[in-house]
Amino acid sequence: MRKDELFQQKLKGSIYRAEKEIDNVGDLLAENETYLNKIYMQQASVGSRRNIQAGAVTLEELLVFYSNRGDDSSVVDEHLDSLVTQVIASANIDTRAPTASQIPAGTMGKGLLAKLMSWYVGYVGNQLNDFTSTTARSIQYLASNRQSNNRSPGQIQNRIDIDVPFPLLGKTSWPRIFDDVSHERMSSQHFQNVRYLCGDWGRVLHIGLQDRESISKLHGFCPNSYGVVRSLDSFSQSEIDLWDLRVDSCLVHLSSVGDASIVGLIVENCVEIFGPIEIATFIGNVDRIIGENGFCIISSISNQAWREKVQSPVKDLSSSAPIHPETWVYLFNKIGFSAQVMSCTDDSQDRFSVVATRILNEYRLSTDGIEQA
Amino acid sequence: MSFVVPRYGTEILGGAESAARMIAEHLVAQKNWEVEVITTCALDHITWENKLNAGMSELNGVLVKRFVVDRGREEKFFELDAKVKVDPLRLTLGESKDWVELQGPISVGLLEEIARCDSEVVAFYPYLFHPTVEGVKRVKGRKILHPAVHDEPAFYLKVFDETFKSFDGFVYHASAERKLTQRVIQIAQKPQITLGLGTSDPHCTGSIIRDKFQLGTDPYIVSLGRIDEMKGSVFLAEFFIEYKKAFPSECKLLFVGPDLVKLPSHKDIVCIGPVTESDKWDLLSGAELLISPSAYESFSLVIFEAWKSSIPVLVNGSCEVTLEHCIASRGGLWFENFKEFCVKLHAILTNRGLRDELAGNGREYAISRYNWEILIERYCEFAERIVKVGR
Repeated sequence: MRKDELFQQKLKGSIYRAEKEIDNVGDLLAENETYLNKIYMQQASVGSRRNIQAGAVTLEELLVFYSNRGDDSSVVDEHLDSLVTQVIASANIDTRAPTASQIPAGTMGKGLLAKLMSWYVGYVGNQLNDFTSTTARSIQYLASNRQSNNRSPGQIQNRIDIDVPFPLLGKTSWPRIFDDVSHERMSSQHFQNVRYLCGDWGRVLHIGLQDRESISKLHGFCPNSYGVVRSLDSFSQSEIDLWDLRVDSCLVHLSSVGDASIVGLIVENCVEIFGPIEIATFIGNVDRIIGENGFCIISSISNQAWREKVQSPVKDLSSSAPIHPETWVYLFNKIGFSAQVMSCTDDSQDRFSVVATRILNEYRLSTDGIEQA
Repeated sequence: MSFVVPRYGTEILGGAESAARMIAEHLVAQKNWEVEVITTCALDHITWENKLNAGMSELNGVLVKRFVVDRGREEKFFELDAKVKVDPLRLTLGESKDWVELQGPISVGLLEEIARCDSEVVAFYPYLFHPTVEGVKRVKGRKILHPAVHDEPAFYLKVFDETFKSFDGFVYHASAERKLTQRVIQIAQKPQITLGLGTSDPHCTGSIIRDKFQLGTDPYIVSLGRIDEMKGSVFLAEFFIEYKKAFPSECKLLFVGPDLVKLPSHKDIVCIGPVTESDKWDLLSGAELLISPSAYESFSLVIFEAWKSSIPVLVNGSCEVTLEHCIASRGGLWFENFKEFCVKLHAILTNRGLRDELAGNGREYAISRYNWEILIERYCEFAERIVKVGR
């Protein structure tokens, strides 16, 4: 076997023993692998920073990178060191680029903040996952109350009695109160209700749902739904196309949605980490993008659970604690939505949903909260 | 299905119009769809001069309907375009509509044909010209836009906000294009896919290409495509000259494609000009690497051609699209300044292991993700969904 073939296979992780068969080949492999890893690490680093519009890699950063090689700093890559040294030392090279740079200005601070936020969002997401069925219940509820809401906005009962089976969108590990619910008992009438809610092709945006089963179910009764997810890695290309999935941040995406252009918005694993500015932006966008008779469902961890169950680093890095469900209702009311809280009825009280529907034109909340025709 | 493009034909190399032709022809060949193209008689995107005959013809199974250009690009355009380049957001909606009209091509016959068209889906390609801006208003069926956007001043004109919002769906070349579009225009809620383009397989003739172009035995690098300042050709030549001062070698830089600008003179810079398809593949297969200096690409077929020829690429890091492909494929490196250019070019030229690994990764990426069978299947499903939603 030729050395370069061995090298290829080594990099693909398929051969580890063969390197002993030829003298020196191990060194060759190690040298190249180390070198490639460094290039890739640098590329990944540049790539992630570019995604948040950070600036170009500076010469200083390159030097820092090449002189600090992370895990294997004991291995000296003389080739690259000398290369960089030559480039810098060469009197023939004008250090200014011959043409104007098109790189947007940026700071390392931005990159650091983004990394921190990315880790933080991911961490919170992992902590708070598996609550999708709260949303499922909200959709169910919203659909079944749609008619009355249209006619008498604000008259929906505050207390919600779930006495019908409903689709379990999320993983089955979530609350015990649902344990006795079986899919077999689920009436197709309820799906029809949701279909009525969205219309046949009403555009529904879901943000934060990550598991295939939830998205599939939702797409089943909102066939024109699309979604923003944290990562596309767990989906096949046909699923990405069929369900129209994208990767984006919640607020950035909402700001890119057209005015009054969607019927429904379902948000999970996002609003927990919003500070006051983000909440105001979120509510403003909800008001702007949801059309008449549209709905919004947010699902959030309770303030109590945040205090008691979320680990300190996450709390410390958060701009504020999650706001209370009543505050969400207040905020939705301020933008002309009728809103209800749906909390879990088991002991933990970890999570709640707020279901909000836009009141018809002829009904608006006055400043003192009394509805006016 | 109908396509609307300002120019169409085998004479047009590269760009959005070629991409439209490739998709149209593959729809016919693979899916047996009835596809027509509504276009003009122009070949040149600056003058829009009528060069081809008006009327109906067939090209590789696609019905082509050509209409005369009534007004091409006008002198006043350049005056207004100068303002656009300085600050496009300062132009009023009226001025931006004027810019589109003055740019051309304006073809009354083409617009009337769009109004008559009864195809279930009409796809426009690209966003920038009058047939798209005015044509979309006349479509009876569903409308898809292949924007082919790059971050250029004209994209920020107010007229395009209205135009984009008129479409029912979008097909992008790369996710960087999608992000850019959504950053500027609020159309995120519209159905959309990121598709890209397929590339044909290399067909090297094995001819003695080095003799043909008098390349001797020296190693060479290729830069493929229009030789133009906007495409980064001039600064690439300048970078390369400086690089050679620091690292003298026999390596040459070949510019292959129509030349619109004069490059700095240097013994190691060779302008070959346009070449045949087979010569292109032969040149690619013998090259050390391909450099794409352009900051304005919406897909960049040439880097895929390089990967299919098993050579790595070095791209301009300020081009989001080519950068995205390099990150996703691990098939190439990029530079954002002169220092990086030197370091990375030298690394590829001198480290055979790195070069081969990059080339192998790129080839695998191009073959597995950008082959026409998969792309056309996805495209058809998307078009069918757009029709279904509209019913």
